Amino acid sequence: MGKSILVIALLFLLAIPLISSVGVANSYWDDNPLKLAPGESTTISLRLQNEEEEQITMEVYLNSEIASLVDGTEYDVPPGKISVPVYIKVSIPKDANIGTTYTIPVSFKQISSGEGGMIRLSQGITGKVPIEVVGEEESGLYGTSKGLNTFWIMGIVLLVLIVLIISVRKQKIKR
Amino acid sequence: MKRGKLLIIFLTILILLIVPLASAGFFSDFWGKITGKATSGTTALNITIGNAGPTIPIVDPIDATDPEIGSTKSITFYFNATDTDGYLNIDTDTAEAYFQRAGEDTRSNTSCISTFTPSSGNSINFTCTIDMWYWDENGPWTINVSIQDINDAYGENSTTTFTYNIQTAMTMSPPTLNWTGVGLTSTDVGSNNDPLTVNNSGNDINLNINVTALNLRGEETLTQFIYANNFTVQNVTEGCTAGTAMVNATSTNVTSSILQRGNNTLNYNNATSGQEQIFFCLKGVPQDISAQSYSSSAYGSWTVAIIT
Repeated sequence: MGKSILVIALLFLLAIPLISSVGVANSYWDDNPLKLAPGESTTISLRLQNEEEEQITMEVYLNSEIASLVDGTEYDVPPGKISVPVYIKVSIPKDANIGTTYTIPVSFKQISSGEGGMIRLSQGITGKVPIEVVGEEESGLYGTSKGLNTFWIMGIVLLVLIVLIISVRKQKIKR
Repeated sequence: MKRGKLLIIFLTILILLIVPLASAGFFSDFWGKITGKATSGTTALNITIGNAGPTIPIVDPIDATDPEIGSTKSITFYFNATDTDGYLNIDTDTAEAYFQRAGEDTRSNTSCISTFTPSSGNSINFTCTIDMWYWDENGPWTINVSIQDINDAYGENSTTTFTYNIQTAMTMSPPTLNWTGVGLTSTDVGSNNDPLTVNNSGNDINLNINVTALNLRGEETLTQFIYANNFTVQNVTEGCTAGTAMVNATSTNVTSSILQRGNNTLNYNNATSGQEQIFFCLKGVPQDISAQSYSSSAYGSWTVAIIT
């Protein structure tokens, strides 16, 4: 009985990877903050990587007034060179002053049972996303789809107005 | 005798006299002999055949790139080399590429390859793959590409950059902590399988290391515990002298443990190799518990976290 428990315990220990590796890649850091104008919002990603031999599950904690997780709090990360994106929606208040900086702390914790030894260890990472409130022209969104959308909307409105004016004139001429 | 006949005889005699003299070289350099001026000499001729040096007008942009945990990230890109003397003038064996950043080791590929050989024109496209290491600094890196022609004329382009992103990553071993031979009277007992080695397997810097401990519950008598605050943690063996006492379910900083980026395989266990070692000490156990196994299986694993 005692031997069989020992064997089971050893097998369990062998099932635990001897080395654990996780990481989070980020496109923003202190010298390279996400730049947004007041009232703007965008979705960014942090990329999870796992160099263990097995899939792991990471839980994400984000506590911020201007940012929220898009896809929930738990992410399965397969082993190998596959990045799993964690999307975060960032919204800058309309009344934010230009020059204001925010730091969004994002914590990741590996979900694992405590079994496998006297004390089982798991990994955690706390990163951050620095944000700087800037003018519209300096914003990371300047000239992107948001700007183009505004351009197209204004163009369509102008076109409708021209069509209306022409049709009104034609009706006047008929009378 | 008629005057005509005399003239013919005179000319015939004259020819008969001149021909032997001429064949004997009597008249060679005749002009020089009578004027004293040189009739031949040497002169240096310098003929320059034009060669236009090669240029690199196009370097394809490289997307911002994430490092690979504890490994290299291969980055492949293209550039176009042009020589107005024709593509055959480009020495395809000399295509080189470098990623450069002040204060960092340059990453390079000195044997970029031509993607195809054109049948005409002035240009050749090259493809290059350069490996970036996980500890290489985040930020913009200059892309420097160069080429030579068959006359050793040199052309380069270093006007573009790419962004190497930041990676906050860790590798740790072992995955469990154990104590053996602990009794009610035991004090200041170090774990028998620490230190816990934490590697910075990314390129983030100044990373704090925190440990979140949870109470250990008896595996037979479920109402008995070894508490988180019975343990201390420190970056010095055995973690018992001045270790920080842990608090149940609370992230506790390991004093003076700051991870820097570095080549982990150097295995110096210090900042240069991007490593820190952590020791765990059991200061003592509650005096009212019984002899049995205590483990983290009830309340979950302890978390070792790196914090930017």
